[in-house]
Amino acid sequence: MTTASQGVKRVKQRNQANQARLLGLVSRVRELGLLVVLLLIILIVGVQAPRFLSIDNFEQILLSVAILAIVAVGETLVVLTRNVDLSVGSMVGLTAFVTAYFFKQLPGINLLLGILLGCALGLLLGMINGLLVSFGRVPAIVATLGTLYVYRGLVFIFASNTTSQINASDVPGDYLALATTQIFGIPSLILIAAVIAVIVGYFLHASPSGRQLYAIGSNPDAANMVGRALCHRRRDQCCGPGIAGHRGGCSRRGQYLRWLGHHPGCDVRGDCPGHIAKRVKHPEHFPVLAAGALWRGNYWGRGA
Amino acid sequence: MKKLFQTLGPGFLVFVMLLLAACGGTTSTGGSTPTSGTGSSNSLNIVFVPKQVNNPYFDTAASGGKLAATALSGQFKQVGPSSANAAAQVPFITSLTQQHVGAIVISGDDPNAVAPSLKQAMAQGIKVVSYDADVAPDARNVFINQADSEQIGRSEVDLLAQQINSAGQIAILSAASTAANQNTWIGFMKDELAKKYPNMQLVKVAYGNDDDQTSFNQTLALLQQYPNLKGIISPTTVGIAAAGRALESVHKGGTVALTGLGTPNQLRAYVKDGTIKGFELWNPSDLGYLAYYVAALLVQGKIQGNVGDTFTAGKLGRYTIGANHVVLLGPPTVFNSANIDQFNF
Amino acid sequence: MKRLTSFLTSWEALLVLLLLIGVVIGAILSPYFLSSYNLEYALPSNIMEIAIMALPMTLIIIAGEIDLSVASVLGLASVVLGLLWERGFPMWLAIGVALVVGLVAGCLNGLLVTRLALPSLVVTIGTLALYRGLAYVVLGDQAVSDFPTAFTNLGFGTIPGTEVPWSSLIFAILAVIFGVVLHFSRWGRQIYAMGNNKEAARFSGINVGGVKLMLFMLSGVIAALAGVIFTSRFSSARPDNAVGFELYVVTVVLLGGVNIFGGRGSLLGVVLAIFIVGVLQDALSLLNISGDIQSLAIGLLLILSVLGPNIAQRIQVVVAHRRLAMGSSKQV
Repeated sequence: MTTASQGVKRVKQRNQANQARLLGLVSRVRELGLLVVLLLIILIVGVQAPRFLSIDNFEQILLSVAILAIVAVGETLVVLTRNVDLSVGSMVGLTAFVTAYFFKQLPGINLLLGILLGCALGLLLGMINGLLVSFGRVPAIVATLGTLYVYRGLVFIFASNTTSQINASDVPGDYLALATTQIFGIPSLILIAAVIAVIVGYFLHASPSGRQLYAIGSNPDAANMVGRALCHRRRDQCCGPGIAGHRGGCSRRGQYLRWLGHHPGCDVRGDCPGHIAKRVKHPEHFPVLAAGALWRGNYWGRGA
Repeated sequence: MKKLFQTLGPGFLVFVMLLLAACGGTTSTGGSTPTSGTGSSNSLNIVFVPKQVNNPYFDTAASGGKLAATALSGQFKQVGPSSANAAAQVPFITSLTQQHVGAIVISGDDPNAVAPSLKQAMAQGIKVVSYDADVAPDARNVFINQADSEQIGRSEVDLLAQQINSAGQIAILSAASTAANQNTWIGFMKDELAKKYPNMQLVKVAYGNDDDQTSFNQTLALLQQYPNLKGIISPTTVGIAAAGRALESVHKGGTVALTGLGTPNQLRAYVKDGTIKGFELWNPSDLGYLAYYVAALLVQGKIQGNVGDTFTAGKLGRYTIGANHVVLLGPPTVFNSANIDQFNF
Repeated sequence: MKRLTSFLTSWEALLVLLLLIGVVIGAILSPYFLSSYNLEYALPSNIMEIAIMALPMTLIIIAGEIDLSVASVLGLASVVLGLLWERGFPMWLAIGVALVVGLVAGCLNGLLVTRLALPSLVVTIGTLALYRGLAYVVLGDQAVSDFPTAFTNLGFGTIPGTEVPWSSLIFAILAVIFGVVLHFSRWGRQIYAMGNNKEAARFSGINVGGVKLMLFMLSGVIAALAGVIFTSRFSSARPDNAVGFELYVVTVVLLGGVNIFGGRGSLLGVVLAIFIVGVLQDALSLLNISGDIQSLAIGLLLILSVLGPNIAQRIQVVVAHRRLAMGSSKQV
């Protein structure tokens, strides 16, 4: 065999190896596959309707998924440990309505305090889920299916017994501004979602407790044997979606009111947040679940 | 033994339930035997079933109904689905039939979907009055029409035409695709456009299903799809409020004209800032009042619901039942910046 | 005696008790509850679509999978039926095509789960959205609502001479068939085996993939049948028919004592659970309590039904431990 043909052969082999590595990368790294699909969709739709590719449109898209993204981050924490949380939609609705209600009833209240109150409620709701799963040994899907209905009913009861109208003018301007301000031209909602995603992502990868979640999901029995307080862990990260659910709730309310923000006279039917709940609870929790499952890839906890 | 039980159990259970029911028929027989008049006492037990609950328009109508109830010493109740869906209305109708109420006053999400259950109610002696959105004519005794449908349809188009100089692309944002009132109005709108406004083109009829978020999204979609859109007609109180919000969110308030049917309270701000130059409505409270009155008179047997019957409906005056058993409330009112502060509903 | 006690402490016994309690409370709270019209007609007709869909769902969950797309298949079948009827096709053809659509939809689910080894939860969440979207594509914003009386009698009418709706009869027949299959036939044993340990079942020669595919296809067809009944009952074919029903179906199956992880459960339990939910909903409707609060009650029932026994068991363990400890401390 001559050196030339050997050289050619080696180049071919190297090319083949590179191709194999690339394909292997794409097939193994789930996120890359998602990215490819995303780009394909943008390409196809963009060719058919050029208006799709405008900045305005992308901003609209990002805004409409900002809340979904926040809630999905929380859901990811749960799915990572081999559980599901079907009640996120109802939690969003409930916290949204309660927060708005508090702002209406206590006009002088500090903005931060109100938001923290809402977050505390989200934490509580998530904790109930977590306690049911860890302490009550109720399978997560059963527990959260039940709490989905329970929280939905609670919003309804609360809304129909307290107020039938919460106007945009009833909540402080700062609260509305939360959703309407733009920082460097980017709507704050998108930034909030991005920040939350980054923080949680970092926590998952870099901190021991984050890695523990992966461990629990990969093999709960092993994790248990390693001596983690499994109960404690599960309960904690069932609160995660609770807080995320609340943030989702805050932001949802905020977005709603954002459009009304200019005109305090407009009505948001008090049932509207209830309506948010009713609408969010059904169609929303499935996209959140899907998003969580898609993002963090493997349903059973093995993330890249 | 256990296995046998497990298998035969289901069938056995069904059998037991039937047995129980057959023996346990303590109260009214129901079903196929029609009972004359009202099964329950002579007290006016009248229940409203709107398209959806927690809707300010229907809540206002309900308050009118309550006024009539007080005037007549009757009972008033309102039940309904949380989303405007005919399939969701049916269980309420069935439940009310079992409770042998005096009359059901309903605004139908779909005229045919609720017809079978309403007919069953009527077969049991319950009076059925439709208001706002009619149901199948043989499934109700009387229909209370808030305003002449033709007048609504044509005047809506006229209102918009005034605002856009009778030229340009327009769209309609409706409620549910099956609602009878919507379709009747849209029919007259199309006719008016064809007759009087050759320079206006109706590019799309979008459906918001009386859902705030859906209507909002549909409006945005319309604006995206038809960048040259000049005006939108939204003959639904939920739709017009959501459309106003949507227009303002993309800063098109004032550029794209908006009109339709809405309540003054919801739209006051939009009128003040120019997004909506004018819209119409009737008084929903009067509608509810009249509907309750007619239902009560039917229950008490004072009118039979025949064409030509005349009656006095309390503070609203004398009415006559017109063709097809329809009672007309009155002409619509146009609201604009000049008069909007005078109303509170 | 042993058999009796083992039965009395079983899940089914608890459900029978709950059912009786429900009936009694319903009778106390509303004078209209115990009427023949209510018990024979109103109560069953409201729950029939969910009941029918719960039958194959039971089998699927026992086999260790789940099918969340049933309500969307119902909606899709409903709009296909409506579309064909509107275009003038004969009713029997429209119904047939709708059933075939359900079959195909179930087949797709099954193939994705068995051939591509994807988790059924993920697959069916995806197809839930897919089929619902298809329904919107098929019929758009419109709805078909003028069906012939002969057809609406299927869902709305009753068997002549009685007050039992036709759908109850269909359900009864299906329930018996499914019961026999699950508890008496070879397939039933295979399904339990698959749910308990998929790998062991495969090594025992059970065609796991084939059986699961059949189950999903069955679920699709039954969902389409439920769609036909739904359409006829409301005389309305809309893309948003039965939105949210899948959760109700799963709730009913779980309440019936079927283990969510598979391998355990009985059809009798599910049938009892169906009636419990039906009684609850019916009693609350007669009190004019809204649907959202009814769901709250059902959600609470679901949680308590699983939580209760767990807590009871734990208390038992703690008490047993205490007793042991006391006993041993006495032995000095």
